[in-house]
Amino acid sequence: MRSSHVFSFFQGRTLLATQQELSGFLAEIERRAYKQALFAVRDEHLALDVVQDSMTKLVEKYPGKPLEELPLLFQRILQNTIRDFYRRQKTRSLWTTLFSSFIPRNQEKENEDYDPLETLQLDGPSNFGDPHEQLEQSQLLNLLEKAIETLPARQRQAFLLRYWEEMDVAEAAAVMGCSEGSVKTHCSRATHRLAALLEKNGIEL
Amino acid sequence: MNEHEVGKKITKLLDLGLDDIKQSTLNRLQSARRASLENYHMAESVANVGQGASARNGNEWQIKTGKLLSIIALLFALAGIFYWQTLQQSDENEEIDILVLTDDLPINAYLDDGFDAWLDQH
Repeated sequence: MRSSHVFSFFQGRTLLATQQELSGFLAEIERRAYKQALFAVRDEHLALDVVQDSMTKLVEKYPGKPLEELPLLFQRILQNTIRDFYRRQKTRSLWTTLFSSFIPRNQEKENEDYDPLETLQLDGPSNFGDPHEQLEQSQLLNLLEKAIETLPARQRQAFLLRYWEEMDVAEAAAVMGCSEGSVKTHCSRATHRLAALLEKNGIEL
Repeated sequence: MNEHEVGKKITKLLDLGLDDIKQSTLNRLQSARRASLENYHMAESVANVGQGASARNGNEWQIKTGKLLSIIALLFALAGIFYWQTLQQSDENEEIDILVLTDDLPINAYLDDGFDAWLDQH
């Protein structure tokens, strides 16, 4: 009994993700993770914090996990981190509304950090093409991202997990901590809503 | 077009959006990844100590010491309370003795039958 346990332990050890593999995995998913966080928290810095927190948790808590289990695990951690952020924001907003009358209004100061160079983009060689088409596409993308931001959190979560992260219903249900039926419902509502919104703006998919 | 196709088309567009992420953001993502991977070594060394038992021993020892210390503190507190209470009781007896010796007893003491019995005994 014990020897078989030891054997399976060592057998499992060979399949575990090495640091390079983990790094490769994180590099592959980091952009999508950032966008997911951005859709949810709507602030670049906070989204980056959420992604870094999730990465750190994954590396610290699950260094000995096989590579194929990582996508599901990371998604679960990411969604939990986003949920924690919402909770913290709720308590913070409670305090700020309680004490808002005592705080002097100096919010204009925040915009001083804005650096126009940051938003300036260089056109790489891959960006050649019809400028009109490019503009149309970026406008469409903008609209789509705004639309996704306005979706209810659960619907957005279900939609992104199912179609962007290409998870099946059972996996998405495991990440979201709900039944498969409600994943399907959330997902279908989100898709219909997005399609209707795009159609309303004269965009056909 | 069914729901799945619509979903796929939308996410294809979202994939295009990934290329539009600002360079500064990409750099920060990269440094976030590196920072998180720095913890990998520590995590690995903890995992490689042994079959879990020896790696956890230190932790358990700390928990045991904590418990032991709190039990000792509790015993000291109980001993303190006991000592303080006996001290107060002897204080009360002392007061009565002094009153008897200085003949300063209140009149009610002489009306008490029990007090007479106590005086007869002595």
